[in-house]
Amino acid sequence: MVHFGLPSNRDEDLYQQALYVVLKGIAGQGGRNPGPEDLQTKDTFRNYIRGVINSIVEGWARTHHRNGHCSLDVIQDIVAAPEAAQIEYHELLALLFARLRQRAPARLLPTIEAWEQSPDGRIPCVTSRKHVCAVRRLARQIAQELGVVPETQRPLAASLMDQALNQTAGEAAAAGAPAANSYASSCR
Amino acid sequence: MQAAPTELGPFFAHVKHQSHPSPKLLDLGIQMRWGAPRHSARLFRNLRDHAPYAFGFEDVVIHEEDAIEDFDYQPSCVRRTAVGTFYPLSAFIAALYERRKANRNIFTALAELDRLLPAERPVTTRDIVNFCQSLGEAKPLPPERQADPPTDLLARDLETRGFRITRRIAQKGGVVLDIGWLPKPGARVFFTGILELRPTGSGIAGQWMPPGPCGVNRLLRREFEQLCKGPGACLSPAGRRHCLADVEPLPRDGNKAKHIDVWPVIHH
Repeated sequence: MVHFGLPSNRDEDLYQQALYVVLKGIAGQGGRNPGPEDLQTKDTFRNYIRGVINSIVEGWARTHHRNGHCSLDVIQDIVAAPEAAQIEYHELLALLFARLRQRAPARLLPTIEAWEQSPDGRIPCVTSRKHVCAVRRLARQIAQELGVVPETQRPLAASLMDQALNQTAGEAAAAGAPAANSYASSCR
Repeated sequence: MQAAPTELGPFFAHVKHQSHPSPKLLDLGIQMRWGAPRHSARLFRNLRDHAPYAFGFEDVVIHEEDAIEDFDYQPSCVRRTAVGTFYPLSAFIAALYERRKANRNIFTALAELDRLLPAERPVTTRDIVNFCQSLGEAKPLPPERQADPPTDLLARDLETRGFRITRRIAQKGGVVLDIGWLPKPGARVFFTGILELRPTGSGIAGQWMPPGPCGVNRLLRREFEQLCKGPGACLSPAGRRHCLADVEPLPRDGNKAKHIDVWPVIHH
């Protein structure tokens, strides 16, 4: 493990995982299934377990990259914004929630209603987390149609936020107020 | 006059528990907030298939909808469920700092998180024996008290900051040290990195073992590097005696690995 730069204090965890996958394999529930040649002697089994351990360590060391995704943060921020700040987005919000209600099955309606009232703009878990995910998926689809959250994901969502920031900064500057981050601070 | 920069977090706080998203994932009742405007994410505990009773910082995950940045992660720490994929928190926090979406002192942030998270419960040798004797059906054993790592082995600045050597493995011609950081005695140890040291004719050279996990350990490693000027300067006199006393330097031809006596400059 140290050769992969992994913490060396997880060796017991590693052995237990190796035993678990072998037991799972023997029970026919996936995992690793030793062949007859691996079970001939103690040494062959030890060698087999060594292979399993190496494979798990390699798995632990493997890394993947995740691309940033389409976020509903922009909508969440608008929902959470104080009423005065919401006026600008009133139509957009009304359209979004109207379409949501129109398209959502009845079981999602309590979640949508709770989202509209949510103080922090996040979709609360009223009935089940599956419903939260379903509302989120549907909201994203509608938001994409409305051009709030583009299909190319972050860049446009970010530009919308920048636009809102610049606009508010401009208004603030005109009113003689400090411009820095005023949209952000009005959101929370 | 320049205004003080806004603290972007991450901040952690207890929130009301929600239903568990899947039998393999438990809601921890903790929320992380960061950025401006504020984003937030709920923290969940990913139960290990082979040891559901075990718990470590690497088991804390967040939902894919909350993981809005690009980041590298270890697929072994990911949990896929019917309600979406959950990614390791550690990798996400590291990405937030690297992308300047978070700027709070990493030590303060991790200390706060450590206070809120359930106690660490590693898999021990007793657990493995228990597991083998029952062919995986045994009830979990009560947790054992984990001893704090020894002190006074690292340079004074590193020790004061909370860095410790958690393990030492002697190798031919050198030693491998497992470096960790703990917010206070008795707290969990946050893995920092594996440091390989080799005595040379002119002192001590060393390197971090790459690649290591993707996560806060990379941030801690950077802090570690800022507190001492090179691998050779990270041990205290007692640490040198403890770690390198029985290590025979390799003859020059035998040591082909690239070892340095100053930290490499990493550009982000």
